[in-house]
Amino acid sequence: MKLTDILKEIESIQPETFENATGRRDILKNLGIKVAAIATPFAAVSMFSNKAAAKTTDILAEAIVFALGISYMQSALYTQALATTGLIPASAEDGFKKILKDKNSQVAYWVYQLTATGNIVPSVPSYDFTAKNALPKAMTDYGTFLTVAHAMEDAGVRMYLTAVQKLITNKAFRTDAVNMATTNARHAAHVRMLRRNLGVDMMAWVISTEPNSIVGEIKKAYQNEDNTMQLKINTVGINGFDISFDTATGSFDEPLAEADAKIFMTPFID
Amino acid sequence: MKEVTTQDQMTHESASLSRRKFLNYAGVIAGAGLLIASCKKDDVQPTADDDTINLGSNDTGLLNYAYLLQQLEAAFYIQVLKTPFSGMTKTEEGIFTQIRDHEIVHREMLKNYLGTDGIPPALENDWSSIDFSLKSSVMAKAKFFEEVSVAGLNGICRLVIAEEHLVTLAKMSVVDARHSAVINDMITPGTFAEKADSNGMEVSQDPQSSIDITKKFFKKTITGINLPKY
Repeated sequence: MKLTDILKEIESIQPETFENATGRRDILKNLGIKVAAIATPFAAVSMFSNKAAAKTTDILAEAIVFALGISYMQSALYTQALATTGLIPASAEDGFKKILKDKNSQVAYWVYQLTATGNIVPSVPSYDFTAKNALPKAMTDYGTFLTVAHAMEDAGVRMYLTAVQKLITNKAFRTDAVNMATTNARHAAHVRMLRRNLGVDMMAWVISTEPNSIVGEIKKAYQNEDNTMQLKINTVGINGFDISFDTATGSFDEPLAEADAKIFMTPFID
Repeated sequence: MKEVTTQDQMTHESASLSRRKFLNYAGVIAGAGLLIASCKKDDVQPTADDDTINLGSNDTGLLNYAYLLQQLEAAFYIQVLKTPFSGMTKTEEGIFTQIRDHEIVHREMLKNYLGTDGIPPALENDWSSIDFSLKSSVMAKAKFFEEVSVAGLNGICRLVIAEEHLVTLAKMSVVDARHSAVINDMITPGTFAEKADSNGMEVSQDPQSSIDITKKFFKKTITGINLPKY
C-alpha cells in the first residue's frame, strides 16, 4: 500500500471522528517542533529509529511510529492477500475484509496524529511476505498464509503492548493504544481459530513460544511470550489451583521488545 | 481442574497464608507503591463486614475493580462448567475450560498482589438473570461479561498511575479480548471484532458506568465512589 492510498483512507474518514483528539494534538504540538527540527527521514529501516535518532526523537512520536510499523505491514498483508485470487476461501473473506478495515483505520488514525502535530510520517516500505523465500508459499497456500498472518497478529498485539508502555505519560494516546491492542487481539484470535479449523492444534490465545508454527527469524514474534511471572507473582499452580505452565502463559500476552520486533519484521521488508 | 469448588474453598481457607506471603515481598518490590498509596488520607479501606463493598481509591481501587471483574468472569465459567447446558459439545467445553482457567489465573494473581488491600475473595454472585441450562442464555452472558471486562480493563488502563499496573492490566485485557472474539464467533461467525469503532479501537468504559452494569451480578452492594474518574 502506498502512502497516498493511506492518505485517501484518511480523507474518507469523517472529520468529527478526530474531534476528540484535540487534547492529543495539544500535547504533541510541543514535541512536534522538536521532532520536526531533527528532520530524521523515517525510511523503512529507521522505522525502528536507530540509536542516534532515538536519543533526540520524542518518545511519544517514537512509540506511535513503532506501532505504525506493524500496522502498515498488516494492512499490506491483507490488501495483497485479498487481491490474490484463490488464496483466501470465500467463507473467510468477510472476516479478512473486516480485519483490513480495522487495520487501515488504525493506520489512518496514527498518520493523522503524526501529521496534525507536525511529525514526520514514515513511508510505507514494500514487503515480501515470503520472508525472502523462507516461506515461499506465503501468498499461494492458505495454511502458510494463516501462519504468517497469526504470527503478525500476535506480534502486533505484543508491539501495541510495548507502545502502551511507551505512551504512559499521555493518557489519551495510551488509551488509544490499549484500545487498538484489544482490537488486534480480536483479529489474532479469529485468525488463529481459522488455522485451528484447518486441523492445527492451537487455540485463540498464545501458549508458550508457539511450538506450532513458525520457522527462522519470525519465531521472534513469540520471544519471551512464555513468561509466567506477573507482578512478580508466579502464576503456575497459583494458590493451589491446577494451573499448568501452558495455561499460565496463555493467560497473558507479553510486550514484544523493540529489538525482537525488528528481527521479526526485517525479513518481510524488501 | 475438576474440583474447582473444592479448590475455591481451599484457597479461601489459605487466604491468610497468601496474605502473609504477599507481605513478605510487598515491602521490597512493587507492593510498596500500593502500601504507600493506601496510607493516603483520602483512601477508603474496602469494607468486608457489611453489605457494601467499597473498591477504594487510587491504583489500589482500580486494581480492586479489575479483581472484581475477574472474580465475576471466573465464577461465571466455573458455574457454566459445573452445570453445563444441554448439548454442550466437547469443543465448547474445551474452550470454556481454558477460558475459565485464564480467568482464575487473573483473579488469583490480583488477589495475591492486592493482599490485605483487596476486596474479599469469592464475593457471592447473583445469577438470577442467567439460565445456565440454556445455551443461548449462557452464550449471551459470556459475550456480555467478556465485553464488559475488556471495555472496563481498558478504562482502568487510562487511569492507573504505576507503569507495572498499566502494563499488567493491558496484558490481561488482550487475553480477555481473545476470549471475547472467540465467544462472539461462536454465536455469530464473523462478529469477532464488532466492538471496534471507526478508528479500529475498542470502546473503553470508565469505571463508574462499568460498575453500574456489573454490580447487579453481586449480592453485596458494590461502590466505586472513591475511584479515580475520567
